[in-house]
Amino acid sequence: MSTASAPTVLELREITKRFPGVLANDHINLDLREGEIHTILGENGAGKSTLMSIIAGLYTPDEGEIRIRGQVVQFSTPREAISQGIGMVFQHFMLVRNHTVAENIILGLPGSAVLDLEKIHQEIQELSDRYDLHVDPERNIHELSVGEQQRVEIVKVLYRGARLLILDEPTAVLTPQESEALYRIMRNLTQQEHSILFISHKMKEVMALSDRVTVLNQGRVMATLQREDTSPEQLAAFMLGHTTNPTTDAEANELPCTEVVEEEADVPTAPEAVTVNPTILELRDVHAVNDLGHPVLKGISLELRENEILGMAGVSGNGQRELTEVLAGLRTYTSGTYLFEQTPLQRLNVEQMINRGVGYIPEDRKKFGVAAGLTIAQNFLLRNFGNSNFFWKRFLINRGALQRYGREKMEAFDVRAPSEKTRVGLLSGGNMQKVILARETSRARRVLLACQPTRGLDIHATQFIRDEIGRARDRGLAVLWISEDLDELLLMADRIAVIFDGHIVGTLSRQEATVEQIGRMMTGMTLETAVPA
Amino acid sequence: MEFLTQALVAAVEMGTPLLFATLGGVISERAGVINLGMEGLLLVGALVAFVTMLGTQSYLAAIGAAVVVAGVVTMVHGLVCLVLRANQIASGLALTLFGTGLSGLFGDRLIGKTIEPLDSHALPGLSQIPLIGPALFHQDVLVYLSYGCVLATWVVLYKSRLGLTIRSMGENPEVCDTMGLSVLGYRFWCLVAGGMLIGLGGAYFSLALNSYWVDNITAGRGWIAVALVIFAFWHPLKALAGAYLFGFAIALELRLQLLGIGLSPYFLKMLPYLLTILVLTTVTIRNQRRGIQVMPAGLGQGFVRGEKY
Repeated sequence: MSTASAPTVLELREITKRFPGVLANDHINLDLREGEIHTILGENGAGKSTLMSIIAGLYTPDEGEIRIRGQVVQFSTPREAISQGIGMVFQHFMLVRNHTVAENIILGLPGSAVLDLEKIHQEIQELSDRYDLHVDPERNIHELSVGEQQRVEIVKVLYRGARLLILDEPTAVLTPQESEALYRIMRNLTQQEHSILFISHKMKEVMALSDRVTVLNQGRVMATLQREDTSPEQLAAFMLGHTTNPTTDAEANELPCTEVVEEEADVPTAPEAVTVNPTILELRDVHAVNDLGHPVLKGISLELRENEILGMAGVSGNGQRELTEVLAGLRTYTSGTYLFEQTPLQRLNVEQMINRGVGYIPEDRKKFGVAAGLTIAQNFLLRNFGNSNFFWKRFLINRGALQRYGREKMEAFDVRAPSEKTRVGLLSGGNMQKVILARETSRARRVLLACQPTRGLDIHATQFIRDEIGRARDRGLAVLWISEDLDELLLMADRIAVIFDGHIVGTLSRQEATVEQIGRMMTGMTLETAVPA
Repeated sequence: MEFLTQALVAAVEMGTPLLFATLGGVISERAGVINLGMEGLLLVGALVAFVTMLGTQSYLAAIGAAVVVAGVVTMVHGLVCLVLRANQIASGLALTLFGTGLSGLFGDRLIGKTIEPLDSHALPGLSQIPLIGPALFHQDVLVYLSYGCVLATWVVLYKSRLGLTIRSMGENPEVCDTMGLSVLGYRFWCLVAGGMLIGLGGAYFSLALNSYWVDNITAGRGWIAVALVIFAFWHPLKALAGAYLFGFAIALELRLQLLGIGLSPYFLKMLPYLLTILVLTTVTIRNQRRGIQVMPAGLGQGFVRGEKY
């Protein structure tokens, strides 16, 4: 299905956008044809989001022009972009959780002053049927799964007459099965002459879906390629800013991209464990409730063993966060047994777990991992108040010692910032995570709880964090690694447990696990039923 | 029976300014803006209405002036907390302090002056209903106007396209922004509309409840209205029930004082506020137990279109 002869619907000419200190988009040229899936590929910070926001009318470019079907347009508000048939499906869903699907879809649209909900429901139903989206207009958003919410977003832009859809990393939050369903929807849309700008950095889906791929690096277009004419290796090289064609093995080996590295085995991967390592931490039938008092852990049993990474797969919201909070002593459990080195723990508290040598990398790093308003050095004090090196007479902060320590750790963990006195809130996600990792792995002696440690980070930072956690394991720590990136778990974990609806559905060794099987288990199928016949 | 009928009439009278203020609060908080300046706006409304009444002898002019001036004063709050993005709480409190000061300053010269309070009109038929008839249907025009305001607020917020937009502003301003709606514009005008209703509530104090000016004429009722917005779950119909419940508590306090019950008048005066604390505590505990999220999710959050680094 070639789209090479199809008319051009969107053209970007020399688009440039500057933010204070950053050139986010540097003279970008891009065009999109009717019925095409055009992928925009790039690391975090490559300028993809800025570019999409410009097309969607959220930002105005400093230079350059946008043409829609040949006509030069200028958007000063998102509404103008919408009226030109551009619809953006954001990575973080733009939905009002307490309102219904229909209310979300019609929000901001002109029409009769009094709402005729029956007619609106019917229209949405028709649209949903036409594109096979399975959306129920009368349900509340907070009742819907992530995949369903995403389909609501798609209906929302279609209802506004969008012909050009921007999908910003749409599969980042989906299970493999939900992703497959989305791929079908995308193909269905392009067959009905919609065009799609698709942002992704999952190489497999990029290669499977795209008609063309444009690679961005540091705000510039590295290349625009026909899918048939390129390879994951070449795309990855462009993503990292290499302009030469990396066909030699030596260069291919350097690419720290998961999909490529999978075949190359020169990163620290799990040792082939034969003997069972001693158990450091064990949960038996642990139950706990979430912040609203609803049961969220419904009988979790697991073991964290010395010198081993237990990967935990699952769609977020199935109890992962609460599980790590219980393990870190932040959340009390309602029943069950928590054994730490054979000692049952009854009353959990954070200080006790810190003293027992437990490190914790929380899911929301900005909110719970750091104190954003304090300096890098000061952040090393957090969860480390017992360290007498940082205090005079156990009372006054020893600034010199703290800053020296901060400098050492910045060096060791490759934290890129002007100095140890820089406020943590100003750091990028990757550097912030390195600060947290440096703090937690330096102190923890027994256990490291890592909740989505690489989410949203670019390739370099991701690789660094993976290596560093691998080293912590090699030092003998028992690691719990929660991730939604199955490739990452298959790469790093010794065993993989799958969590669904507050239960561990099953635990597989790395050797026996496959993406497909884990994907099925993530939807609640047990180990037995998830094995393909 | 006679006592109860009279108490109910007084309950509606006492409840009406609370109702106007609560409705005003519901509108602005549904759009996501906290207005802690209610007490100040009530005082401004009362003062302006009283002064205009003295000068013009026209109820319409007095009510109109109270509404307009309260609206203009609210714009200052909007300018500070929405346009300049200062803290909504601090700005609202400043508004209350401003209103208190202003009414004290100008009210000083008004002490001793009197006006003719609004007449009651019985609605034929309806006012004959035992017990609630006189309370609901033998009242002044502002009470009847308050019924209309409740109904209009409810229809607009829950049945209209505009209302959907307003409620979405309070739940998730970012979504509204991406839909091309002006968060600042909607929030500002909802805040101002709410402020005008509060001004109307203020006018009720000087035009209906009193015939002469007293210092601190609102007696802290603005704070009750702040709590009532929460008690009413940000819903106009529940605001009606809540306002009359508190109106009843205030009326009861006055009646009990007159009956000469051997309780300290200071204790009786405390009752409505005690009820406020009690109701807020129980409502909050109950909601937390059930895991209900009724508060607009984006309440009090400033909004700037994010430019990330």
